[in-house]
Amino acid sequence: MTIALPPQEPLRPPADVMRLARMGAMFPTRLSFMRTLLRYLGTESASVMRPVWEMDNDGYGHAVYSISFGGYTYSLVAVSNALSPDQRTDRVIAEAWDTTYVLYDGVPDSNEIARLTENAPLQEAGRFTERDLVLSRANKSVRLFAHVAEALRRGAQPDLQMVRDIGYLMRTTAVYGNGKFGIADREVIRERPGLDGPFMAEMLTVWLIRGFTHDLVEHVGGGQLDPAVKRHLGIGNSTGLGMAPFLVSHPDLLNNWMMARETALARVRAVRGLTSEQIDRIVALTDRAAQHLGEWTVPDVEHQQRIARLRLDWADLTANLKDLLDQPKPIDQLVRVCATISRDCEELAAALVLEPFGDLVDQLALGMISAQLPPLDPRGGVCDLRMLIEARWDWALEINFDDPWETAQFWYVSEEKLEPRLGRRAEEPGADQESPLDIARQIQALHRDMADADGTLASFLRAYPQHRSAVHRVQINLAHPYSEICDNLIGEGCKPIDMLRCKLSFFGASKFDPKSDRWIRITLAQGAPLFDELGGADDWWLPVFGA
Amino acid sequence: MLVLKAVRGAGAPLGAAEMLARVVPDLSTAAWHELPTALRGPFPASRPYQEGGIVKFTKARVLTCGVAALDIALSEDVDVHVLQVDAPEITCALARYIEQAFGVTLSRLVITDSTDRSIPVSRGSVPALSTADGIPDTVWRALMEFAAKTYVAASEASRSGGAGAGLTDND
Repeated sequence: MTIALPPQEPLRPPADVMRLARMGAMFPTRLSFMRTLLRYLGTESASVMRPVWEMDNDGYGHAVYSISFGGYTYSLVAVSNALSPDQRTDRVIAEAWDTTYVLYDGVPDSNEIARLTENAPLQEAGRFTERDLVLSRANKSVRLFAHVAEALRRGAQPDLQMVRDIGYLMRTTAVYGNGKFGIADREVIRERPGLDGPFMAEMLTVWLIRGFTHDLVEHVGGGQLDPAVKRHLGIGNSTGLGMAPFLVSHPDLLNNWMMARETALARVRAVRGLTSEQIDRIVALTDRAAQHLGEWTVPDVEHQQRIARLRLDWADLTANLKDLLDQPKPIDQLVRVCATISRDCEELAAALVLEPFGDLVDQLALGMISAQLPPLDPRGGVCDLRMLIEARWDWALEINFDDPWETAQFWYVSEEKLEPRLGRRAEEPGADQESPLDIARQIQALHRDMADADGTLASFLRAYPQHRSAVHRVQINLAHPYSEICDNLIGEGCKPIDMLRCKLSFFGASKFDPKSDRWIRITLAQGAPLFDELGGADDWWLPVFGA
Repeated sequence: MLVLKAVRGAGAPLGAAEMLARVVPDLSTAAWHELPTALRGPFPASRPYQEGGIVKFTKARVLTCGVAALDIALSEDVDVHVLQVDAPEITCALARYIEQAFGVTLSRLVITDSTDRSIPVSRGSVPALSTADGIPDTVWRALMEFAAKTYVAASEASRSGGAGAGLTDND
């Protein structure tokens, strides 16, 4: 039996899609992991229980939340402690937090709760077991948490402007999975329904933490939040460089995520005409996006200018929207027009147009898992590989690595915290221990040494074993065209926040708030269903206040 | 991930490190014990020679000769001998990985240990080291030492700007 795939327009070329600047303009979509997870939990009719709530009047103590789906039960053990302001840092090097968490495999008994309440606050320094699936911590937005608690104590609701401007009660500063610090390896959950997709255990943890923050502030304030206000309180996240190298070290995942998104876009662009309901839906989503842009303000001047520009462009687009949607292949027309306006406008439209077409899009999430990449194949010829590089890696061959501007930065792992860092090559020590994220330079060096070579790859690699990794990446890229970031990652022009935004948009993040070129705050699960709203609540793309 | 860092720290070619990292979940206890030896540098390019129509690597290092021999065994119609290899169990694990990935049998590949005893590729099909048993302490320490060679000591510049974040976040 053959299954006909939906028609699609050509995919956008990787040389365009995989540029840092475009990756740094991405928005969440209905394929984002948090959306996928909550859709799944809704279809499973999963419900959250809170079997343990041991909190004092100030909100210090611990709680346990349990949720069952796919034949398994998972529990979030949450610990809340007093923290002095001078210890409240988002950096991964912090040693104390307002709250700490473990996602536990099963329902912990009293001994396990005691173990976890002792070790969760220690985070990296704690002792964990294979029952512990995810480790996380979060700090309060002190200003908003205190304000909401105080308002509830007065029997009032919090100031809506403040809720809108901040958007979360707590901000996670790390969410660790996959075997870090002794917790369970991903293999433990790889085959489990609901957690088999990328970062699903981490997304589940974050969503449960968000619900805990709601409960905690209501406990401290002694009142109930209005559900609309509560829904708009997501969970913040502060992310630095640690996340960026992942996209380089996991070319299979990067490809599969991007391929799913680009295939979704190509499918909806092939839609020949829209029903009146679909037109109404796109118009409503366009209005929602405009409201979202209006509510998205950041302190960073350069980024705020980008947002302001996008607001104007979006307003122009909205004015002409109905005419655009009245043409053949209306989605394709819409995306084409947005591409002529700006990159930000095109990426916002590319995310929006997926929303009304869950039937064409949602199944693609199944392909976003890791693939077992084949090993390097030495059976080819050097000439073929050289031609392949010249055809598909021209962007890398064009970089002048003799220019110090193109090698101004280097990636390394800090001895102090074992975390990725970015250094200045001319000013800081450590370049001789550089992490191999200089993919473009590696490819160029490979191409240079191939200039006078012929014969088999096997014989070439015997003479040049240092090129083995680069040869493999070229081969991977042939079958996985979105596997590589098509930019120089060690040049002065590399801004890691572009990589962070790409990855975070796949998580489902919004309200990107850059704090520097290499550190960003975002909000997750804002507008997402509350614990008791999972059934059928999937309409929260680009959250807006009051929705 | 630790093995990948350790092999890089040892100075072996990145591609060999990546290949070895792929077979880590399948390594037997004996193979784990070979890792410190396999990671001892230096790692000069492999130099095979031909004898009686056989391509031979003697006193072979798995991360150079072993990987190169597998390339030849897969791509050329010749007998390939990896003799007195420093890490025969790891070599077998890499060979099995290639066999499975490409759906072939490397029947013309011969691997011998330091005593020149032939080791069948299939022999390494013993159970992988269970996570519950843990990596042997001596191996773990050796891997940590090699991995540490890839780490850069902290400086004022790295502390203040390397990660890009601010120092306190009371908001």
